[in-house]
Amino acid sequence: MVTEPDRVLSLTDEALQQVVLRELLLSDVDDAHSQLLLRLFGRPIGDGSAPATHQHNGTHALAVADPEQNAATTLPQASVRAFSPEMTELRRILLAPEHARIAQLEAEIAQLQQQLMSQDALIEMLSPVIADSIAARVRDSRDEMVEAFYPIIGSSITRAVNEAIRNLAERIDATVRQNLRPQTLKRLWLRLQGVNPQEAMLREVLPFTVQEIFLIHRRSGLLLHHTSATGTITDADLISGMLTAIRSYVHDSLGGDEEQTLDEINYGERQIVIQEGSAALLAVVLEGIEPADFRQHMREQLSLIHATFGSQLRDYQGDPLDPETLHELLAPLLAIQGTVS
Amino acid sequence: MIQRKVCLVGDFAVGKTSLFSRFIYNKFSEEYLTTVGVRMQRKVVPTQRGVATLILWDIEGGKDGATVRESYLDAAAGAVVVCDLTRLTTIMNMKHYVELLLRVNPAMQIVLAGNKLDLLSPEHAHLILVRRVAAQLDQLLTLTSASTGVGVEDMFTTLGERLIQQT
Repeated sequence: MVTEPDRVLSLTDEALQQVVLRELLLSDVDDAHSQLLLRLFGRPIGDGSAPATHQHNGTHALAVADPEQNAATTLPQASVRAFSPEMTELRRILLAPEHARIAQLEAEIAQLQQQLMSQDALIEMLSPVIADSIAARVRDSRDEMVEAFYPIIGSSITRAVNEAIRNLAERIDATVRQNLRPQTLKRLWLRLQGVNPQEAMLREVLPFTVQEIFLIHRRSGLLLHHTSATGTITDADLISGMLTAIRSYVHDSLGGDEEQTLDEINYGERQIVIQEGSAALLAVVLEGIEPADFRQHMREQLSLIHATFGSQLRDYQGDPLDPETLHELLAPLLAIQGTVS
Repeated sequence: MIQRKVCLVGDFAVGKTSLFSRFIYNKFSEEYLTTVGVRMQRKVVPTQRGVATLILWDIEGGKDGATVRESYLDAAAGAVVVCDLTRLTTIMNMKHYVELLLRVNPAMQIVLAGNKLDLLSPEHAHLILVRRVAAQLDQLLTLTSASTGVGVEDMFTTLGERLIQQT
């Protein structure tokens, strides 16, 4: 670095001067320089100042200072910190922004230390991070998390289920007490048949709903009639075809005789129960636990439909059957609902 | 509503599905279709007896025509046999499908569809060949292009009309 006074003095831009001066100060510099620099800042020059001596060959002034003659005023490398008053003053002026920054950082460190020492402050600081990391962990390794949590929540779930069953049992008992005479007869009858009456009653009170009913031509898969409790299905005719194709596929793939057919499909909470007649089949989409005699109901309605439409059904080519009659025959199935209280 | 079951058969990648996928959105997943090998589509066509709904069983194309699951053809009133006019083997294989369909149902109403017409020049040799094959099989031929839509509506309307007249 060239520390040529003329050049330094000739700089007019104050900001640029400061940059150059700080560069000088942070590197090794002697007192002669510091006096020169202070003059630049219009500060009084203290005693003991030596005239500025400079090399003009580009080498540093320090190189020619005699350490024996004036050890205190020379500024050797970083190991020596004994500055002259001028130098100290100069440092104070020039390093003011750094001092301010250090003070600010010290304050921040003190605050962090305080947070680390205080549990409440620590919780407040870490809780968002912990929440995010748990969410990410659950997302990335669901199975592991389930295994980890099962011992904790498994027992809670068991307790909740037990409680629900107990409530149900109480409800059954209440029903039994309310209708004592017919129920007593029924319980006696069930007991004679070797059935636990309470279990039988439980079966009757489980929630159950019929959502969709499809009457399908068995061979062609064409939709004969569709009744819905939800009103959400728009492609009943395509579903009807697809159900038939799936049944054919399963039958072809797994083999078996004509009697062995797909009569149940489970998906999530719902179930498709299929009952087959000679010309038509009935597919019912239901949710919950079906009553014990539900399939019997289905078969009865299917028999009625076959009896009503007879040859029309056997020789079905795709021309419409009377929709009102079909609806009347299928509506009773849609009306069967669980006794949800 | 009058309905008829119609099967679409033909070799792999002759464009059976694209003949009507322009008009219909199918909600069954591709994975399912690959497994079961059939896709349900609906085409509503005008007929002398009012509109009729063709329930189309788009049956997965076999590479050699030998892999059509025959139970899917059961009780179909009509069928469209599709070939790719740019591929000679698919034209020749139509014979196999027609024989199969007539074996399942001798009264089956069949329409042959020469697809991808837009890819051929009008004097292409395959056009002469496909007409000869159709004449030999004694079946109605329609030339179609699923990408431009040429001939597709006519084909389904013609088939719908024939299916209604049959009964």
